[in-house]
Amino acid sequence: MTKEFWQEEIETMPRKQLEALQVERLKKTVEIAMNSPFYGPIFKERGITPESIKSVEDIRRFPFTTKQDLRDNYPFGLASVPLDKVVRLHSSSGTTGKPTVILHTQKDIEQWADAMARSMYCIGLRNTDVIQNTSGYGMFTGGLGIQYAAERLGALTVPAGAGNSLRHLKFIQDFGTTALHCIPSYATRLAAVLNENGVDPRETKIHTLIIGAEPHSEAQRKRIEEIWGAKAYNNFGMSEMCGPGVAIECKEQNGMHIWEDNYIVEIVDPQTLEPVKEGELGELVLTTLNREAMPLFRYRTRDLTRIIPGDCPCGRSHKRLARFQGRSDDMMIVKGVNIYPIQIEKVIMEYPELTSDYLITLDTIGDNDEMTLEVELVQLVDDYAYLQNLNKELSRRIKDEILITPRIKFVPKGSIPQSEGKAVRVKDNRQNH
Amino acid sequence: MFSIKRIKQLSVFLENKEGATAQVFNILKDAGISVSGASLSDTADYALMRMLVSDSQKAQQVLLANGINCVESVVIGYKLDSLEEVTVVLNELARKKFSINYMYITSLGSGNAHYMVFRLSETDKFFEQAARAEFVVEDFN
Repeated sequence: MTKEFWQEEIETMPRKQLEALQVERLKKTVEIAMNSPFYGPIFKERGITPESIKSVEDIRRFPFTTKQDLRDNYPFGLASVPLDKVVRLHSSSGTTGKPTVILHTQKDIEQWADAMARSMYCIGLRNTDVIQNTSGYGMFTGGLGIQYAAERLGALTVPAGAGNSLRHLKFIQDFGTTALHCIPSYATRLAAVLNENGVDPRETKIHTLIIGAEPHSEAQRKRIEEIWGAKAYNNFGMSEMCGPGVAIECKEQNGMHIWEDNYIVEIVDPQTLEPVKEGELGELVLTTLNREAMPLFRYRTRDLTRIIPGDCPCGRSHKRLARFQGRSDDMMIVKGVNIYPIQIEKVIMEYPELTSDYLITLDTIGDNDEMTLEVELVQLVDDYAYLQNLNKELSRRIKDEILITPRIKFVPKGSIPQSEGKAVRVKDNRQNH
Repeated sequence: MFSIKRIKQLSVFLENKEGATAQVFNILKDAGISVSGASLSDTADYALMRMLVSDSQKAQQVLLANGINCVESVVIGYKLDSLEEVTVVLNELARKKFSINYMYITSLGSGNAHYMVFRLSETDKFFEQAARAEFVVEDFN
């Protein structure tokens, strides 16, 4: 009989014991981070030492860490180990402004693989599975993250990477893929391609889809399960925390267990930064407990969610997070990619032919997210070739920056609606909540 | 005698969507502006429709007020004695190394006469040379 859990002792650990483990790991993490040029002085200032940590509540003595801190300390300012111990970095996109960099030691890489393998095991994947990855490889943590985890699990990995749906179809047929890792919108897109090519997705060997990286509704998940004739599990990851492998739905499909042996989880009011009552909506704040190259304390994820109170029938004692309900900042997720309006704004500023006003509209066309960017020409030019070139160049420049290609619309100067106070830059018409 | 008109033409930015062209004509009609020339190509996504209208200033105002992007530009109108003359003009432009951006032929509302309307990549240079060659250059509108 195969066992239910990857690591039964940890996954079903009683709360008191789990919290004791968290305290122990928090102490260790503080010890490591004391070497960091970023955290060291902060700890000294606040009298934070490993010895002074007695309970999980002591986390509230720490200040919050934000994405801006990562940007300000680009590239290696948040390292807690000497760089010769770092074996990999993952960086966010962007050629203008400061990207963010996450560092990993060998131990971090192995730990990450183990956590995601645990997640895969939780949803029923085994070393007999054939796992195909549709995530881009390279800087995307969804690529290598799933790769290493699937190998750790012992499964046969098909590192197909992003795009080229016909190739994915061929691999699914030729290699007998049993599990697919993809963003929810691609799950529907790929199924459509299969159907267009006379292949019923339900007739393939795929029995499980690991979906995540973009918000999606229960209705969307059910639709994906129906068109594939397979189970689809919501997978939560974040590059700052490692990558995929932070939280996963169990077979109950009622909330994602977040691995609390690896993270201290807080839900706070995004305005006051005070913890909310358990079960209330708030911003997810995470502290790493098992990372050494770049541990992060009270990292503000800007994702809004809530804890699902009570015990899960699966027996896992790690708390469950509900479906994410938006952001406490202006970040958008389009085709699985994180995008900030400021990235687009910076590109627009490079063109004196355009005013500084713009409007991003997000729509769902068919199964896909589409972004339209309205920009104002300072003056319409009576030259079609010129407009074509400007359109093409702007589109290409923005794609370099945000990794997806928007549709560019030239609108008359002054036609983008102005609002009082902060300019509305994004209109999201998509239905995925 | 070579008669050349300096014409103020309206270029209207059109999105490739249903009713876009009709909308422009409706707006102009409602504003009491008449159209004596129009040219539209089969481009994708968007197009520049070139128009000759009775009141270019008013046309711009009313189109911009309706959220339609437009701009006035100067184009050259050459009165043709016959349609065969088009070949002569084109050969001459090629000889003088002028490059043509776009061109259309219209009556300019004049009844029987035909005008060749065109924009060159170097329109200003053309007018300079025409003046020096003592052509008659008049403003059309």
